[in-house]
Amino acid sequence: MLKLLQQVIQHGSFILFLLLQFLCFYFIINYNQDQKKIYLYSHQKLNSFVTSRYKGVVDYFGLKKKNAILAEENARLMEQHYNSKTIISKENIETDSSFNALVEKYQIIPARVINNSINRPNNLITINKGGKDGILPNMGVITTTGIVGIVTDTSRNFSLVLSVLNPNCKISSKLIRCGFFGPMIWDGENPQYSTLVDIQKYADVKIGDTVSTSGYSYIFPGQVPIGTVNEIENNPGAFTYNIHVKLFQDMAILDEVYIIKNSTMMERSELESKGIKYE
Amino acid sequence: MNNEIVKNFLRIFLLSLIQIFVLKEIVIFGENGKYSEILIYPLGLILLPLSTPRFFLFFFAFLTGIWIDIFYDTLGVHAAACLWMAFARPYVLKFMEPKSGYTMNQHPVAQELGVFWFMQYMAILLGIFVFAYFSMKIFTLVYIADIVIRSILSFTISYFILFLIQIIFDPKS
Repeated sequence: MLKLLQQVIQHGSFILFLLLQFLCFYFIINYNQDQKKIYLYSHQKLNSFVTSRYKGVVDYFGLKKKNAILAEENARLMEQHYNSKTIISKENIETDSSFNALVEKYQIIPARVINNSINRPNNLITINKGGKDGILPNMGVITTTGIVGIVTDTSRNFSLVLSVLNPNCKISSKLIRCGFFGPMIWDGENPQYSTLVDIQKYADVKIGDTVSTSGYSYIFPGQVPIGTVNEIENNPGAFTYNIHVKLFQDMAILDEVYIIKNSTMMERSELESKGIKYE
Repeated sequence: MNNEIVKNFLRIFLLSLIQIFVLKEIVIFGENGKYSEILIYPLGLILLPLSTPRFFLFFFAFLTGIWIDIFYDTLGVHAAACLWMAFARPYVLKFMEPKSGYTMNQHPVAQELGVFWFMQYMAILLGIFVFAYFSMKIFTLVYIADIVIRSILSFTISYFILFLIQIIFDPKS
């Protein structure tokens, strides 16, 4: 304390200088119009610069949490979207409470990709949600832009997804404009393209047509976008076209995915398995 | 000593009156004297005795500046410039100390320390003052070229007039 006092006495004149200079600045800023404007302008500029920088840094820390929140919100919106389609198409019996149990209800679960491959002949994806979160085999996996694949196996915390870039993965798809449908199978060549087979030659297919899921399977709801027609392969002697589809979702940059849980999946698969005896 | 204080006070007062009533109205370059202002009152601060304590120097500079500001309608601008000059004065004196050193009760005037010494001393302090003054007046580095041009023009005129005053009047009397 004594030392401090000594310092004050020693540098008293300098402190006085600072004080008076500060007072001068105060006067300049408060009693001169031009200088006041300049001061306010610079002050604001500096302030906004510092705040935006600070925010930029702080936002970065909250990104993970924000991402999770957005994924959840996306899932909720998707749920609403896919559920509304089934209800609207049967609007007149919507009020019947027993009907609600019958109609297909979709529940969307957000997840993240933790392992992915696109170069192998049989590509698989691992995601970070499993049986604990209610995921079962044969559930569809999509993103906000396109489809990803089908769940094949689950453990407690993880699930294995059969990527669309896997020849074992057959997705029932439909050409939206003309309504023809067929299975989509990867030909094992280019990870950006898949092939839609069994489209009859009298179908009015054009390059650029949109392909979506058909909604005939219990795995995916209808109208989930898949891609656009890129090339129509016309094999002489065959009855059907092979259509090359450019996928909307780039499989190389998968991160946030959504799993579609269909409440009537079990019931339907059980019933449809009985049809095998007639085939 | 008492006489010394009164003399210095009177000198500053007189210089400030000339500044306020005569030089403020004189226009040399540009419209409304935009590019050059004749500033002579800092001479009063420049000529304070060498033994003046810093404390007193700062107070004196501040009060003189505010006094001028009241008439120039630029509260704080002259005061800030005066303070910068007062702050620099001891360092300038130290830098320009002759080999034999200063003696007690010496005054920084041409008669005591030589014309050449005084011209240099006054040029440095006036330069600092004028530059500080225009920096405070324009208040932004965006117009740094403007600040420099105005400082150079004003400095030239003021320096010339101050030198004439120094020759005509003997500040010791």
